[in-house]
Amino acid sequence: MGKIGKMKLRFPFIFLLIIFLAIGFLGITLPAQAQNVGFEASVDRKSVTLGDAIQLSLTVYGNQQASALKLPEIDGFQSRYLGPSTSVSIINGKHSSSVSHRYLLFPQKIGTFQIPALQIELGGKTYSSNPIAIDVVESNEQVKSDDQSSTAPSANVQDKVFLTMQANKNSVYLNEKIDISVKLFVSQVALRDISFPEINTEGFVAEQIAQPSQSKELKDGAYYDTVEFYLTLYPVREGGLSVGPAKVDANILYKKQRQRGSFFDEFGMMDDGFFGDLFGSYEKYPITFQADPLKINVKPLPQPVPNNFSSAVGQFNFTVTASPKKVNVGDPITVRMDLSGNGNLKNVKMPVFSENDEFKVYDPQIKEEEGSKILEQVLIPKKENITHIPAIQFTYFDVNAGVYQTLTRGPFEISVSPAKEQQPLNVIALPNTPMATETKDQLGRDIVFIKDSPGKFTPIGKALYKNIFFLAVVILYTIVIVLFFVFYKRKERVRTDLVYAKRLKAPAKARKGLKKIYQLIHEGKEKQFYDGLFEFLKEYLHYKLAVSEGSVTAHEIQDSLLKKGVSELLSKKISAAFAECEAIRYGALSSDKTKMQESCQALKEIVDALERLNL
Amino acid sequence: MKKLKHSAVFIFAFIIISNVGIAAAQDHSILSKFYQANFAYKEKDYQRAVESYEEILSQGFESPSLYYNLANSYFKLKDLGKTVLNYERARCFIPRDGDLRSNYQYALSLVQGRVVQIKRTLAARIWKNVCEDFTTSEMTLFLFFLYVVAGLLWALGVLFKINQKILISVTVVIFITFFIGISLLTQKIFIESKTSIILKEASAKFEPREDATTHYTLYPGAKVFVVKKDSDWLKVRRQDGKMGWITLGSLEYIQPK
Repeated sequence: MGKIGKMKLRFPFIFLLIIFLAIGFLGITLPAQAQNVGFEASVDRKSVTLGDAIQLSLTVYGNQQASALKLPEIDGFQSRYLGPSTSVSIINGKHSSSVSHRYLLFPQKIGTFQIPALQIELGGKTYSSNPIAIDVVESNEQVKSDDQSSTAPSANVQDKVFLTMQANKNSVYLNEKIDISVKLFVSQVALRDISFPEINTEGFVAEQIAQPSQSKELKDGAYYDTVEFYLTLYPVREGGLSVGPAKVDANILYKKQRQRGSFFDEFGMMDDGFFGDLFGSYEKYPITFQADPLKINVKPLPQPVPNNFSSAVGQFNFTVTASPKKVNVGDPITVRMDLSGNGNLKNVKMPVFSENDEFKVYDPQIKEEEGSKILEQVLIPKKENITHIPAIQFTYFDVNAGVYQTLTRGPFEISVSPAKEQQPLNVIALPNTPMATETKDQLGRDIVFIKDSPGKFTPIGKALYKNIFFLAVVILYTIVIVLFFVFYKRKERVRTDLVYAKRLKAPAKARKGLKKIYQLIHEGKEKQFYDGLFEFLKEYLHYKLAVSEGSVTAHEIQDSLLKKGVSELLSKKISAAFAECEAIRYGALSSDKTKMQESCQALKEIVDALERLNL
Repeated sequence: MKKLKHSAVFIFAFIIISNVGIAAAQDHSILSKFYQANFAYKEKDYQRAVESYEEILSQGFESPSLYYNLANSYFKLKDLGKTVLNYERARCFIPRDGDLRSNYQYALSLVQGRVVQIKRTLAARIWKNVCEDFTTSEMTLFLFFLYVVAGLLWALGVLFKINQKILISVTVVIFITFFIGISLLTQKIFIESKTSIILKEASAKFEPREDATTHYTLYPGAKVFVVKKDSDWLKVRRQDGKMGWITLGSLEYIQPK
């Protein structure tokens, strides 16, 4: 996503922030002192087609009570008052309020017209706005867009988007800092993927371009969104140099001609910019903006150049500290030099101490931070009668004064004592060692010092055994283990215990068989019904009691039923069912539908009772 | 089903992230308070240090170093009761910390009327080596680990048909350890919830009445076990087993309530 896109995403957040700040500080900041009152006129665009309208806003700052101005006759336009809009904003704790009165201006004819300077009287003072020039052009674009499927950005984009480049000075000394600002003005156009500017900087040392800043700016009576890039240059050559041209690449979004009859079209959804953007009804068109080169005149540094010139050009602060001030011979003293200012610090040669018969000198450590350069050098006194560290000088060229300046720091007073003999090491016994405790009590005892690292802060009373997630894990683990065993045991039994396996299958068999038999009742097939009933009973008992199929007869089954602890009543019922089946099957008895239903009911009772018994 | 799983994971992640977020946000102000307090201590402004540390506690956060430093500050202010109390609280987190142990013992040595136990019983030794030297969370974690191992071992043993005898003996050992651990842990949690430190000198009486005969005197820093509560009176047991009734305000529980 391009820079603008990113910023756009952050806008709602910034708005929210502003609203919160406003709510938070309104009470405090509202009774502030009288603010600066101002008056300003602006238009939403500077070129308008006949038949269209432009919006003129007259904004009064610092006075929300200002009433609407009655617009004078403006040549070429008819005006209509739209209404006021007020706004309060707080920036860096400064609160400002404004009221905007908005008017619509309808162009009457083609040409260039001027909105004259407007005047308003506030609190006895008269304020006036800038005049604004407006181009009114013929509405030929509408005609064009009808026969063209898409309109590529045309030349009039130049009014809406343009690039400027400015330098803070045009005449500089060699190596002096120049601030370049490259600003992109955008109005009424959606720009994406804005690149960092490419600038021709031959003859200069350029620092990296910093992250751009965004704001809104009033220029020639119209508001523009601006993206400003900052660049710092240091000239390295004398003479007339030029910076630029600056080039910025971006993609411009323009509306694609819609295909008619699309689903969203029917509901007018595509008219919404958001949906339009989302569904890609906009197309990107690459565009390059260019800003004219700047002429920079680079003057040479005046002669003669001092011997110890550090090649620093600009304005600088130089501080030097030395510590410690009281040392023994052979102890190190650290001298720290801080150089800060607006100049090319990279090229600056820092002054250093050199070895002499008073001090032993170590190589300096130099580090560069933003806007400052720090040098640290260690000096070790060789003798005890040294009273000071010699002064140090820094020479730079002051661009404001146009002369070389020399800053002298020091000398630094120190006192050096003769080298001390090494003190014997103190032996401290560990606490807790029994032998030492006795003597330690006499030496004085105290607590060990506090801990610097805070450890982990937790809510008071929190413990692992009270943690709901921990308990959940324990319970879950228990359930998993128990389930594992239940399933494993069952599977194992099915595999090894055939009787058990068969018995497990019995209920399913029973359900299937019963369904079949019920169907036979409906069909009224007596014979088949009782055949089926008989077969079912036989098969079911074979599975349930795990006896061989052949031995399932009314007679044989009695014994195994009684052995399994089946009540006599139930076993009699089973025998009766068998007997009934046999009687009907071999024609000894006849049956009808109700009889069949009764038999079926009896069968069901038998199955239910056996299932309940849990053999 | 898959969707459900996803949303469950999402909700879980959300809960964790939001908790972390809140903790992080609070941590920042608490940290700066902590460092302020440390600075005050180093500047010998112990009263201010105590106030800052207590402020963190009143916001509902605790840390071992916080209790340790707070105890040190109270020590410097010569408030022995609060010193011992906060060292005890720190010991719930870092029982094996050398500095803490040294300071705690030193503070205890200054407590008046201290009961000295020379010979330790086996139970007392186990208690000291296990319960006093490990935190509740460490013990919980250890037991959880045992529990997981026992379960896995059992499951694997059954699946891969390991010799029943070995399997049973190993699980029995693990379960005995586990149950001893569980009983120690519950005992520890129970005792810790009832143990308190005397803050103000108090007379332990035979009866919960102002005019009852005094049994013995408890001095700031003494550790007592609260047996029961009767309106404004607490029945406490001293370390040597002597019981007595003291008033409610003269002690504070180690476990913040």
